[in-house]
Amino acid sequence: MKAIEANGLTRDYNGLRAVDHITFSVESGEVFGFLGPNGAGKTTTIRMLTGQLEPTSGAARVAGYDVVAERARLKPHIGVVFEHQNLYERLTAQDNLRFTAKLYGVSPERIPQVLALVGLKEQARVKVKKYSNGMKQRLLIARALLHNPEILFLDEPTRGLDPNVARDIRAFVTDLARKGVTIFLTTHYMEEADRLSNRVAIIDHGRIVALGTPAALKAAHGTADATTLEDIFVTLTGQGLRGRFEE
Amino acid sequence: MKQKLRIIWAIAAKDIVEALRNKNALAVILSALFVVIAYRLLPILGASSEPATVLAYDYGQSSLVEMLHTSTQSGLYTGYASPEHLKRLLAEGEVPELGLIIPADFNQTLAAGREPILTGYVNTWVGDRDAHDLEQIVENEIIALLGAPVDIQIADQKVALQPNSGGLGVTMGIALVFVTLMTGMLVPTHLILEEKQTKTLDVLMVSPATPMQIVLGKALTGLFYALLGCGVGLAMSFPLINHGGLIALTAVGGALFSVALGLCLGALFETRQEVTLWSWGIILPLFIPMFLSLLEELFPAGLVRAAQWLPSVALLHLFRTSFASDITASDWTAQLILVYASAALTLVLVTWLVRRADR
Repeated sequence: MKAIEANGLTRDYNGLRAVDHITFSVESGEVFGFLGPNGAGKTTTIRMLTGQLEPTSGAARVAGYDVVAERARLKPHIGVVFEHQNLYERLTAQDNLRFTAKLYGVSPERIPQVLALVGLKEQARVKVKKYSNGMKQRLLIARALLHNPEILFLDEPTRGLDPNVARDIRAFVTDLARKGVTIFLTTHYMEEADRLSNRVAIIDHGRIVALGTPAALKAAHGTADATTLEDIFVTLTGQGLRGRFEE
Repeated sequence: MKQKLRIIWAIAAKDIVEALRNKNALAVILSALFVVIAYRLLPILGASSEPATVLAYDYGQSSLVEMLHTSTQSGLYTGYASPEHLKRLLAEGEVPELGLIIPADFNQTLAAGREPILTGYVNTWVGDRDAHDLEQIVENEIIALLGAPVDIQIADQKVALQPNSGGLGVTMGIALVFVTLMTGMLVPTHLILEEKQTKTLDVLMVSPATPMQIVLGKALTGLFYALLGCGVGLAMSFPLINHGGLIALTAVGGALFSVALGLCLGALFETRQEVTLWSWGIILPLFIPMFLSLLEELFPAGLVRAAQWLPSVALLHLFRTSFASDITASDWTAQLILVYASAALTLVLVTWLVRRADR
């Protein structure tokens, strides 16, 4: 079953095309890496798939629901870890989750469970402003998982984290995937995408320029000098950047 | 429906607490409360060291008025055309004052060795104890001046405010409009702004909360603080209130209008600087005409008439009317409709802004 289906998804901002007719699908239980340089259209795509932004044209279904017409029914099935650490900093971790639980109609008994899952049970009553970046990131994941979503959107989940915390987060993602949660992951770290993703899509200038398993992309686009996913990413997207400067 | 209400209440409950932790929202709440308390208490504190004020109308040419002019214990005002004129001006007072009617036969009664009886008037909002104290102070002063006993009898029928009365009615009316508009407008604005700046609004947008439920949650918070501020002001001016139903409708209408303005600001702007600039751009055109409407003789009639169409001016009129006695529906219906219509139109604008942003 398809967890995500995007068909010709397009979004314009003030005459500029941020996402340009992208078509892809994500299987249920798959970890799908969505890669691209800054401003390529990754976050705009996530915003459309999570019902925050209406597409200019095209359509998408997430968890079987149309992201525009069935937005309200879609939301309980998805969890989102945003690019920014957007927590209520003056509240404790527990209170942040209690508020989210009320929005989703989730029993408060689930709060200690998810806090334990991300290793924050002991710090539940500490105000979030006192948390380290790594702790905040784990709390963001706990919040996104509170209502047991089928699909988890992770927007740059390890950005700016120290290597140990980033490794914990990656292990956590692997574990979630093993439990059958579909994961839509955007990241700048190609090694991370290579290790975690079943398939990746590379987006540049709002268009998908490559789509497939990391191994298939390496086979299709690799050369003697370009053997890693990062090399292929640079080959596929760096040309565009250079081209932009040359213009 | 239950789920929708749960979401709206969850947002409102969080925001009601968060408003006290958001330094900008808290500053708005505290400064508005300070203004309303200051408006009520400053005249009282200022008058505490002053002699009791007496407004006297003398039917005859009694010696009392001349004597009272020399008194250090009471400040005397005379020169009224009639007892009704005196009562009308007594209603303009900001602190308890005594209106004194001196009978035409005052001198003769005194000369005959009898005790003259003077009729005293106080405003409806002056409590019995304050009225009694005032009566005692003035009576003792007159006895000391005349060297003969007099009796001041406070009239059962106190002097009621009219919709156009100045004094405490206007002072508290302005304070109530201020506290309602400022808290209702700025508290939700600062809360929305903070959610935008910390990007927690995105969290709400991907949750089962719809944009309208988010707006309603913020609106409830604004209403809570606007009505709380207004409630404090009303509690401080409780003796003034003659029409509880009208004042409740006025407070709710004013709170709805101000909250709708605040939601517009929150929906339209992204930074505190923009909000500060635009909120003053709204506050000044709302407040200046209020003062203009009070000084109608100084401005062209057309300008004063145009000012009457502003919701803030209508609110001030409604608060003053709620303090007055002997009012009819025609004294307040048009203004109440204007306030609620303005609130409804502004809420429609908010809905449109939210739906447009949603796309």
